[in-house]
Amino acid sequence: MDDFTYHAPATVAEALALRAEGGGAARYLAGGSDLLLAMQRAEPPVARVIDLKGIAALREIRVAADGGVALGAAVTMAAIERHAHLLAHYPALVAAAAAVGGPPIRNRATVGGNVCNASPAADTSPVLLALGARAVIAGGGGERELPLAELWSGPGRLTLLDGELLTAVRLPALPPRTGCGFQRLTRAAMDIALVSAAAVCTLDRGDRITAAACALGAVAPTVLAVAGLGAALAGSRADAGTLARVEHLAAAAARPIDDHRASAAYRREMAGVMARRAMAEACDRARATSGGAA
Amino acid sequence: MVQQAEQQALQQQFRYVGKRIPRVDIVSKLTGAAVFAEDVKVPGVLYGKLLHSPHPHARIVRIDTSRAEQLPGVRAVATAADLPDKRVGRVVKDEHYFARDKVRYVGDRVAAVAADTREIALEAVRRIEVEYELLPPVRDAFEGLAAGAPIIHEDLLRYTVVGPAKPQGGNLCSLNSLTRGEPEAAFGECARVFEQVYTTQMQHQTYLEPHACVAVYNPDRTYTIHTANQGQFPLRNAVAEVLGVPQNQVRVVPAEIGGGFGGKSIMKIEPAAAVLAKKAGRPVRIVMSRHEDFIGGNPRAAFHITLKTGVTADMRMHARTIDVVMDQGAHAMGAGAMAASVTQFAEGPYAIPNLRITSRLVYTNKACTSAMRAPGGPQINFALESETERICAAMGWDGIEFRRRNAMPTDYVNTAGGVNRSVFTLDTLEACLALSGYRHDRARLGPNRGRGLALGNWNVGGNASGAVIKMNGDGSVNVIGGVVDLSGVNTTMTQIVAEALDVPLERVTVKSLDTDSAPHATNSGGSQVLKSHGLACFKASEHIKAQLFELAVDELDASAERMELKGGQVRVQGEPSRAVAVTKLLSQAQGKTGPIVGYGATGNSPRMPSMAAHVADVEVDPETGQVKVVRYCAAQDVGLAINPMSVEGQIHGGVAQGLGQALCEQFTYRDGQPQNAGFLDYKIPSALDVPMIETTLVEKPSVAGPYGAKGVGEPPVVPVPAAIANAIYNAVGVRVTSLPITPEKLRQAIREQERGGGA
Ligand SMILES: Cc1cc2nc3c(=O)[nH]c(=O)nc-3n(C[C@H](O)[C@H](O)[C@H](O)COP(=O)(O)OP(=O)(O)OC[C@H]3O[C@@H](n4cnc5c(N)ncnc54)[C@H](O)[C@@H]3O)c2cc1C
Repeated sequence: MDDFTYHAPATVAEALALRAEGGGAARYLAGGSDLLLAMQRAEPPVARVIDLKGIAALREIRVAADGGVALGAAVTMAAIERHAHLLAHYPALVAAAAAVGGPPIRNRATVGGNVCNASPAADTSPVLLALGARAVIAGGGGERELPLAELWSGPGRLTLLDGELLTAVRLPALPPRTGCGFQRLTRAAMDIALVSAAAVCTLDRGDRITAAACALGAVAPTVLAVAGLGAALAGSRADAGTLARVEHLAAAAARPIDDHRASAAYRREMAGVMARRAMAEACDRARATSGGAA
Repeated sequence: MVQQAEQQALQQQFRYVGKRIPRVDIVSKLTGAAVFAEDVKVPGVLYGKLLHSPHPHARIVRIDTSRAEQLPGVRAVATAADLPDKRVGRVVKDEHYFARDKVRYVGDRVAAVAADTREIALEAVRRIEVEYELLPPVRDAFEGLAAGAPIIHEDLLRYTVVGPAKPQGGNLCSLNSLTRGEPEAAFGECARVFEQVYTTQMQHQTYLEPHACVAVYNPDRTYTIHTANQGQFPLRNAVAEVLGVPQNQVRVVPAEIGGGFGGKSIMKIEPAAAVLAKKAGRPVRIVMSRHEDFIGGNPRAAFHITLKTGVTADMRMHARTIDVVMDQGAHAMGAGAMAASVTQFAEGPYAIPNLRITSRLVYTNKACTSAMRAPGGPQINFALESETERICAAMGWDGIEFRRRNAMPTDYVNTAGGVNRSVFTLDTLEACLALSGYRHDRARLGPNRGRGLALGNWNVGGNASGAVIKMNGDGSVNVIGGVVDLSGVNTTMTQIVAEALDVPLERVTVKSLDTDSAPHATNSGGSQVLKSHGLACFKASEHIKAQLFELAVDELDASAERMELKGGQVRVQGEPSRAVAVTKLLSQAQGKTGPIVGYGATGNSPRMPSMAAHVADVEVDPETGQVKVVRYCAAQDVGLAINPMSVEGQIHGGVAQGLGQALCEQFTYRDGQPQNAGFLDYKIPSALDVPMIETTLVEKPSVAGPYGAKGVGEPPVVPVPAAIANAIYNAVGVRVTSLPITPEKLRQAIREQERGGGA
């Protein structure tokens, strides 16, 4: 990884042009906390590095009038951790950001890098997925948007077209009485998740679930939404029986592997436990919110 | 109370010993001025890189280095052909430094290159062509013992044995056994006999600094090697053996060392750097990557321990057999010695009249295990102290009373036939119970919380060591030792010499010098430095005193026996007015005896147990099996703490390392291939995983060490896994008998219990 050129464009357009010129040996760099490790093994070697942190627009957290949020791709975990609106309305995202590495890593690591590295264990991804986030993408042909789930095609693989750039992750506004939760299991503190789960739910005045979603990390080739969970839970009371259904559905949805960190069977069981706990957290927070997210 | 008074009286005798003195190296470490091996600057230095075997077991058909040699910027390539065809080893001579006929583990050294840049060196290594004929690997110790297993060392029975190992042929590198009484017959006299198997994992030392060295081949055909090794003398001897040169032609200069824990008591890259430096005619630096350091390291061996224990109705262990099978890896290294030493301390902190300990050390196609902090200690102790609690639970006995009745007393004749002096088992146990309030709030810890106790020992030996002290004209002194400054050695030696000569600390300089300059000394390991080198420094001080007293005979008109050295004066005891300044004697010496130089030495000394008693409080998440350690208390029998701050630091570090062994660390292989050779995958506890550790020091002087001090580095790692396992049992009622106790393993055990299958 010794001979590469470094570029610090000031605009997205410049970044796209540099990337197009550099071809397959060029890479976008955000915090570099994944990229630098990947560069040590990259074949063919990386010849051009395009640093996105100089692009002001990518470092912004924009709160819309309805309370929804656009997170610039180069927003760091540390910035998420101390953002008042995110702390108030998306505490699960803050918890996930705060779970990434140690403080020095969180000062560099970005949400765009976390998403684009496409690790199934990425901590912010399950929360973003459960919240129904959309990816905003810039490319030669202009801007487009996709549901986040459609961005990942496998471990470390994206559906982005060659040279395309993630500019932001858009979080929809949350309906009233909506809460979110995030849980992760590791072997020791400061570890990549063995299993993680995020949950979102909306309750009506009678404590019945009107909408719910759950996403799992580290139990499939990509971060995974638990399919059919919203429909299965709709109308049911947010009680222990419902949480047991969440556990069951999540464990059934998981497609984990065996490795030296844990067996597939354990990961599957834990996917259920983490999902249940995340959903319990989400329900508690939904009850605690008085009105809408705005 | 009595004990406290005793301790205070002990400490008041001294001015420098027993005090919390900041480390003498603290400023250079904190400012970054300390020079580690990688920092050593030598003009014209080349980058060295090793080629490691990618296969666990294979025959080498052909090695072709020509494509590497042709690469511009490559200055030397070395293979087995560049070294004498001679097997080396500290215990069993079972290893060619560079593989010759076969490779025996992933990471085995095949060749090395030296080049102008790191990139060229890496490329050159890739260009070396090795044709291998793959052989089936021996994946674990039991596979190695099985009939028809692939044989790793075909010539084992023809190998030279220099240590306590007893090779048996096949893959059985050593079989050692010790017996007292008649255990088999004695089981028949017992009220009940318990049997249980315990297993432990391979654990890496995970020192902060990977192995690094710089080698220079000098015009006078000698070698100079700067290295981060735990002992310049053992290393020098090992390198000279590999190179086939006399020991005087290798000069090893100790660099600052970024941790060792036993992992740096073995030669590693130094011979490769030396042979490359000679071939290239330029100095060579080799720094191992973390990956290389894992695959080519010398981790703690995995043990399989079968315990059989017979108890009498009056709570006594009457008979016990301990059968240990050790997964040694490809070469004997330090593990060969461990097989023997384990048999010596496996009796643990107990006195059992009928006892047999058998250890089998088995070659496997994995990294060569060797010394790691208290080699063998925590493995055996995990079995012994888990079993203590299992027996007591089954019999309805109180674990503390059981330990009291079976505790090893002092002056105990051990199973090997030696006498264990200065053993303070019960004092240590009681100190820990008091510190932790063991019984006090045990019932009120809260749901899924439990408290666990373990009592452990490490038997500290001592190896031959010499020290020289030069007294300067102004009465200040320079202490010359050949012991690496690890875990505060130089600070402790400063305190010992300052005390012995009654000179202020700032007038004592202790240096660990190279092998040409210092007298032969032991390596910094096994908690033995204080007992061996510390005593040598003390004796060298006494030698200085004797010379000064002799010089003062005329001046004071008194015999030397009546004199004392106090505050820069030699005085007649009890008559402070009859005194002469040391500086005056020193200037007189110039005209009489010449310079004042003291020499002190110690020979090998027998092992003596140092005790540690630990209490852990844990909280278990029964749904996930996760364990959080919420409180930790450690008491240790230290003789006298020369520097209590250093001793407490050793206890804190030992406990943290023990928690890793207890809960998360495990170096794993699949079909002979390492699975987690890096810190992303090999998990060690971080500051967030380790609770505050409360300590108490039991200070009852030992008969062996200077000022009654004992070795302190190993004991605190020993009882940790058992204390944690016992705490988990008390929290959720399940006993895990294999280390590490990962969340998955514990969850599995809890699930079995939920289904009613648990024991
Ligand atoms: C010590 C350590 C601990 C860690 N712990 C955790 C943890 O606990 N949890 C966790 O989830 N992760 C962890 N990580 C991984 C890493 O920090 C995160 O994935 C981080 O969010 C990556 O962000 P980055 O800005 O550093 O990405 P980079 O390394 O800069 O980029 C990652 C990848 O995404 C591409 N990329 C970046 N931005 C864009 C963009 N806008 N458009 C298109 N492609 C882009 C890059 O080209 C690269 O391929 C850890 C890493 C380290 C080194």
